Amino acid sequence: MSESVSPETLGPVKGDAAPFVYSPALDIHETAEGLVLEADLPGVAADQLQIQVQNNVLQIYGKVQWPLPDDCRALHAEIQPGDFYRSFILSDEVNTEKIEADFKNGVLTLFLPRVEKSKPRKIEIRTQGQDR
Amino acid sequence: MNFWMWRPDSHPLSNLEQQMNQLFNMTMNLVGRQLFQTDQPFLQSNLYETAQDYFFLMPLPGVDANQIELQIAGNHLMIKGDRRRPDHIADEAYRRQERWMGRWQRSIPLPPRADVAHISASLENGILLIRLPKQPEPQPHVLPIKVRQTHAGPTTITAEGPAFDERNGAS
Repeated sequence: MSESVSPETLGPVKGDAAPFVYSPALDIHETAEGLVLEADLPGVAADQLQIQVQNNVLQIYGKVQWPLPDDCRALHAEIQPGDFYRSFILSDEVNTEKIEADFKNGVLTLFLPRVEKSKPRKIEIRTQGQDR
Repeated sequence: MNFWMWRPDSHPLSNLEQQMNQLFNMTMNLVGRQLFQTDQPFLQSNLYETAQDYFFLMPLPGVDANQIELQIAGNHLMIKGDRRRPDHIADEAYRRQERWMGRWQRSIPLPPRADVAHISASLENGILLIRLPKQPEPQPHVLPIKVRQTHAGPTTITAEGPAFDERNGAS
C-alpha cells in the first residue's frame, strides 16, 4: 500500500474550502482476512465523511465541523480547524468490492479484505493416443 | 513517507504554517518522548469565549466519554485519560502506527470569573468540548457623595480624573 497525491475528485469545492487540510494519522494492521485501517478524524460527522475507491485509489475526505457557537472568539489556539484528506493506492490483493467501513468517536475503521486466493484447479490432460 | 499532502490548488505559503505545525507535532510525539523522558502524547487544545461562557475544545479521537477524567484541582482544570491499542492485536501485525496512544493529560489554568460549579462537558465525534459559564461581572460599587456648597458663587466639580484624586489625597 503506498500513498499518492491524486486529482481532486473528492474534497471541498474551491472557495468553500476550509483554510487547512490535514493528513489524518492512521494505523494499519494485518489480519487473517486482510488489512484494517484506522484513521483519527476528530470533528467529522458520519454524514460528512466520504470514502471512495476508484482505479485502486482509496480516498478519504472528512469535513470538519467543531461544535462551537458562532459568536465565540478564540482566546488561545494551538490548533486550527481543518478538514482531513488522505489517499492510498491499494495493492491488487485488496478486494475493493468488499471494503467495509465503521465510524465511531471520530475514528474511521476500514476493513480491506484480501481477494480470496483462487483454488488450485486440476487440468485434465486428454490422451489422444487412440486416435492415432 | 509522506507526512502531509501537497495540494496544488492552494497557495504554497498558506500551507507553510500548517506544515510547520504538523512537523512540530510529529516531532514532539516521536522524538519528544525520548527528549523529555515521557511517553505521554502531546495533546492540543483551544480556548474560546462568548459573552456568557468559556469553551475549551480538545480533539480526542477514539476515546469514550467514560475514559475521560475531568476535575478541578485548585485553580486548574485537569483532564486526563488513557488511550491504548487493543491488546489482542500483536505489535508485529502493524504496518503503520501513526496515531497517538498512551496516558495523556492536560492542565489548564481557569480563566477569570469561571463558574466551576456549572461546568459541563460533551464529547461529539471525537471532539471534547467543555463549557465553563462566566460568573456575572461584579457590579461596580457606586457610592453617591453629597456635595455641600460652602461658599457663594458658582462651583465646578469634576467627578473623575487626577484633580479629584489629588484633592481627596490632600484632604
